[in-house]
Amino acid sequence: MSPPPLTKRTEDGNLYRRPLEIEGALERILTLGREEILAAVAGQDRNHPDYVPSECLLHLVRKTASDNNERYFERLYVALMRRVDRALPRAEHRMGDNVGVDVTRSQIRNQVRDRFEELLVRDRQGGEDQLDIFEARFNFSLARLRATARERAWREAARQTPLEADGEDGELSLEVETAAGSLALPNPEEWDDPAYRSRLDAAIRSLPSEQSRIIAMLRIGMPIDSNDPDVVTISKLMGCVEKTVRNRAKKAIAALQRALDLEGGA
Amino acid sequence: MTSAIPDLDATLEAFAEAGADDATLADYVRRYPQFAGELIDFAQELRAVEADDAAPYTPDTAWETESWARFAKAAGVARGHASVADPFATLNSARQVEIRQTLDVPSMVFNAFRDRQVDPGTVPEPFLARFAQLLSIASQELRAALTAPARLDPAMQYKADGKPAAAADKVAFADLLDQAMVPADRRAALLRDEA
Repeated sequence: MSPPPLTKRTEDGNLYRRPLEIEGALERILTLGREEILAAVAGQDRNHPDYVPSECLLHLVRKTASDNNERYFERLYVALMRRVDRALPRAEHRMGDNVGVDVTRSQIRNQVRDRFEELLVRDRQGGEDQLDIFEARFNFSLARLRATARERAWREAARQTPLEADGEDGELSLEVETAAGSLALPNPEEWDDPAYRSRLDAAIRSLPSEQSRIIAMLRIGMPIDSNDPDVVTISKLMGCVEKTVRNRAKKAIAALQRALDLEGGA
Repeated sequence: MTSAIPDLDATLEAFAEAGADDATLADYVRRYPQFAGELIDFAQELRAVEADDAAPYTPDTAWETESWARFAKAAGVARGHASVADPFATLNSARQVEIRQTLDVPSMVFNAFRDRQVDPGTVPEPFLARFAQLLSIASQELRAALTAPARLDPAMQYKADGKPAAAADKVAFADLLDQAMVPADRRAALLRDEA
């Protein structure tokens, strides 16, 4: 049984298409009975051969809207929402022996939960194809919702945080650039360690918005400033002078070091 | 990227398709400086989705329950009789017409089934099975749904002051065909189990 094609079109007029592996998984799932489907979608181990990709689970939820069976639908719905929730930032986080609740993460989590729920309701009510992209690329679409929610949460946080002076210490610029650069350069012993990299990514995301972006830019080797007007620089993107970038980077690196030391139990 | 002026969605999709690692990000920021901020933020979130998805997770069952309740209410998911779901709840009008025409019955007959006004014990199994198949459910499910109390069409417009009450007693399938003035030969075919 071939799954029906998606109906939403990209900017250049082409229909969104599911990747081949998703089409294949969907064809296989659509041959199963309802009990078998419910058992399959409950699986959370992505490496299991019978794991149902979230794109397929969403398709089942949308398909079930037209052959309504409330109990079956409810179980699919809950399985799908669990997938969404699992891929959102955890509001609680551990720093050494302490467990705290990160307000920004909590806001992002709630916003994405609400937005996805809203998309499902509108899809169910008919006439919407905004979920087509989720059927083609679930994590991609979820990341976009998260990015939008994060931007909103950061703006909210910025409104509630008094402006901080960035300091005048220009003499530390070389030190900062060197330290930040070391974050971007792979250290084979640590950088290839997925656990370390994951901790670093999480710590970067937890920084205040400007610092997080600056570190992300330094990691990919973007220059802080340049005399060449055609070069994309951090100063240009952040809309601030070189010294401000350097001072924010310095604070960010210090915060990252503290976070990694604490998480590493140092 | 096929269009001359890339848009943000297409750029992010192409970036994700290309692997979304640091080297790809540096390349895309250089090629599409107008989207540098969005690319950087999106790259972080894409990586975060993967990391969070793989991290230990305890389901928030309270939220799941609340979310389902909100969804069911907002999306109008039917609450059928006891645990029996309403197989007509989400049929749009076009699909209703399609099913009625396929069954070759008047609207009155289709509506009586939709509104659970038919006594399921009087409906020949072949007709019921065909009806159920068009609703993508088993005939037992349709039979079970028909046992729920009759209801009125919520979309019906009322001109009188009071809202009319649903008939207390269900109608026999043969009587329904008579009331709907189904031609004699078709009526006979439907009742002879030749639906």
